[in-house]
Amino acid sequence: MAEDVKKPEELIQIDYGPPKRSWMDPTVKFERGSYNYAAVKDNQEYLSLPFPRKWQPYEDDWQLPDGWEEIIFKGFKERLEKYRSLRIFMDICVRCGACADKCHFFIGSGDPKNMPVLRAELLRSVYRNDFTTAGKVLGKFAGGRKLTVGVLKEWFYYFYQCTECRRCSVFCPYGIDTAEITMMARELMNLIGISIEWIGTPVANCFRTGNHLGIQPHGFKDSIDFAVDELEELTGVRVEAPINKKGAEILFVAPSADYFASPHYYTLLGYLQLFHEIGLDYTWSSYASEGGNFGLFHSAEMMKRLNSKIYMEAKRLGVKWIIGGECGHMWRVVHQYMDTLNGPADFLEEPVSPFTGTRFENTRATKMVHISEFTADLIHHNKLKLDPSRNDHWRVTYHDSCNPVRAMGLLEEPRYVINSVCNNFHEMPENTIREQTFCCGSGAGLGTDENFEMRMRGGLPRANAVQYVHDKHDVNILLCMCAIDKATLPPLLEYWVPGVEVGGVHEMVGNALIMKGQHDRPTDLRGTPYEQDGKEGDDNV
Amino acid sequence: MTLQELLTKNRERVVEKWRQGIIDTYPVDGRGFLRQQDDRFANPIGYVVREETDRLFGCLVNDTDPEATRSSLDKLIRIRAVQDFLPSEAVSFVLLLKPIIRELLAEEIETHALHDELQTTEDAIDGMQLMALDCYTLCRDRISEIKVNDARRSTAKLIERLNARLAEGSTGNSCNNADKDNDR
Ligand code: SF4
Ligand code: SF4
Repeated sequence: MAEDVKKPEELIQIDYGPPKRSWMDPTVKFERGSYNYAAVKDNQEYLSLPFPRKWQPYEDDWQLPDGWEEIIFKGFKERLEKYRSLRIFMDICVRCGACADKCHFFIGSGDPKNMPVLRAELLRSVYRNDFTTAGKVLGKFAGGRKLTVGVLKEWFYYFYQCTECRRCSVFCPYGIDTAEITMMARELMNLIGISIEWIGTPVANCFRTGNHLGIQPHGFKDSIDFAVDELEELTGVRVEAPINKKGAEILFVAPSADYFASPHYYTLLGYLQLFHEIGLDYTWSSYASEGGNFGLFHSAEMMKRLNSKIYMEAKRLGVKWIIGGECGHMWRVVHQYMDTLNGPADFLEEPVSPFTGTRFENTRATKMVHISEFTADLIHHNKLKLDPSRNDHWRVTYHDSCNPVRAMGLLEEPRYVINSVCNNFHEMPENTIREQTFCCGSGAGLGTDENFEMRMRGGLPRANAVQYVHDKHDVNILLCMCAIDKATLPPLLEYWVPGVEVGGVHEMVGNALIMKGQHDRPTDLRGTPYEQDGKEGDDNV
Repeated sequence: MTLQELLTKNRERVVEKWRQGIIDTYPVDGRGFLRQQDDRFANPIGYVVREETDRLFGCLVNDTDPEATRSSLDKLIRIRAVQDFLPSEAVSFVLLLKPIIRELLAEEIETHALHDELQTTEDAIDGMQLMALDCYTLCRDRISEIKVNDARRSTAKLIERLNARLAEGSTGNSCNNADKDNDR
C-alpha cells in the first residue's frame, strides 16, 4: 500500500474510467486479507510432495523449479487423457454467462475474475494455447494464453478463491463443474510445490495421527472421556462412548472439531446422548478420528489416502457398516468419489437400522449413512422421546452446507429433524437455500486468518440472507451440518449479523431428547439455564 | 425556491448519479451486474447501494436523526471495509455527492442564488464524511476483535480440558500436539 501514496487532491478523485486492463492481463496483487500462506516445507516433505521449499505468495520470486512450465504441461496432458470430464469442461463452455453471477466471491467482491466462467477461463486459456490447434496457431486471438509466471500467480490467487462449493454448476446448462476445474488447477500447482498451509498442515496431520490438529490417540480418548463427564453433569446420565471396540456393529466417524472446538462440541454431546439413548452398538476409532477430508482440497491422491483410513478402520474393527457425523466435505468424497477411489466396500454389509429395520439402499455402494438420515428415520418411527420446547429459546434457521446438499442431495432429512426438535424454525429466502445455498465462503482450505477479508466477502450473500430472517423473525441461531461451517460462520456472523449464534442439528436433538434416568437438566447443552417456566433467559443470545 | 426543495425535486437524478459513482469504484466487468440485478439476495452489494444511498440523501436533505445517517453509512462501509479498497477509497464515495450536486443543479443554484445554502449542505456532507471514517475504523476494530475470538473458539474445548486437568494436578500430555498458533 505504501508505494501508492496519493496527493490529497487525488484521493478524492473517484475513477469513472474504462477498465485499466483486459482480463487477459494476469497481474494480481497479493493484498492483505485476500490470499493464503504457502504450505510449510516440513509438511510437504512429510507427504513426499515435490519441490518442498520455503516461499510465500507475496514474494516476487516463488523459486519455481527449472522447467516448471514443462512439468505443468505434462501434468495437464496426463489429466486431460485420464479425466474425460476435464477435457469436456475445457471444450464445451459456450460462455452463456448463466454461472457468471452465481459465485459468492463474485457477488461479494464485484471482482469479475471470480465469475466462475472467468475462473475456468484462467485454465482454459492455457489449454487453448497448448492443446488446441486454433490456439497453437492463433494464440491470443483464439483466446489462448501462454503459461507465464504471471499467469501462474493468477491461478494461485483465483483458484484459492474458489471454495469448490459447486453453486455455479447448478446453473450451468452443460453441467460444467467449476469446482472440478479448480481441483485440477490445484493439482497442477502441486506438481511444482505450490499449495497452501491450511491444506498442507491438516493433510499431514490427518495422515500422521488421523485428525487435522494432530491429536494423538490418548488425546482423542481424553477428549471423548471429557465429553462423557461433562454430559453426566449436564444430564445426570453416564453414557458409554466406546473407542476402538472390535466387533461393534457400527463405526462412527465425525469431524475432529466436534471434540475440540466450539460450537461443534455441543453437537458431539448430542451424538453421545442419542447413541446412548437408543442403545447403539457402535465404536469410535482413534485413527479414523477425523471425518473431514482435507485431501479433497489438495489432489485425488490425497483424497484417496485420507478416505481410505475410514474404510481401513472399519475393516480392522470388524464393523458391519458406518455412520458419519455432521461433516461437509467428508460426504462429498464418500458420495462422489469413494467408490472409484477405494471401493468397493464389499467387506461391509448394506446398512440396516437395528431399531427400525430401515434399509439405507442409497448407501449400498459406500455402506456409510449420514447421521441426519439415521436420526430422521428414528424420529419417523417414533423411537425417540423428544421435547421440542427445550429449544424454545432458539429461533432457528438452517444453512444447507454445500457438500451435503449439493453433493449428496440431503435436503429434507435435516429439515425433518429440525422440525421435530424445534418449535421455531424459519427458512431463509428460497434462492439462498437448498441446492442454491450460499457457501460460508471459507471452505476448501480457505478458512484462514490471513484470508479473513476474502472470507467476509465470500460469506456476504449467506450472511445477508441470515440478516433477513434475523430482522424478520428475530432468528438467533443458524444451524448447519458441517465442521467448516461451524468454525467459519461464527466470525462471519459476528461481522455481518451480530446476535446470531451458530449450532449443529444434533445439538438441538440433544437438547430435546428426553433420556431415561436424567435429572431435571436445568440447562441446555451450552450450560445456559432455562427459566423457571421451562423457557430460557436471553443471556446466551 | 430553497435548496432543500431543489434537492427534493431532483432526488432521483442526484441519487442515481451518486449510485453510479459508487458502482464505478468496482471493476468494470462486474458493474452491470451490481447495477442491474435487483434481487436483494442475489446482489446484496447492489441492494445496499440502492437502498442506503437514497436513505442517506433523505437524511442529508431533511436533516434527520444522525443515528439514521450512521446506520446507513455503516451498511455501506461494512461492505467496503473488507473489499479491495484503501481506507480513503472505502469512504470517499460520500464526497462524491458534492460535484454531483454542483454539476447537475448548477443552473438552478445560480438562478435562485442558493450558494449559501449549498455551502451549508456541503458542510453537512463533510460531516457525513467524518462519520464514514468513524464507521470504517469501527469495522476494522471489529475485525481485529473477531480474529481474537475466532482463535479462541477453534480450540476452545482443548484449552478448557487442559486447564481442568491442570487444576486436578495432573498436567496430562494429551494436547501437546495441538497448541500451535496456526491451529484453527
Ligand atoms: S466458489 Fe463455488 S460458485 Fe464460485 S467458482 Fe468455485 S465452485 Fe463455483
Ligand atoms: S453456465 Fe456453463 S456454459 Fe455457461 S458460461 Fe458458465 S460454464 Fe460456460
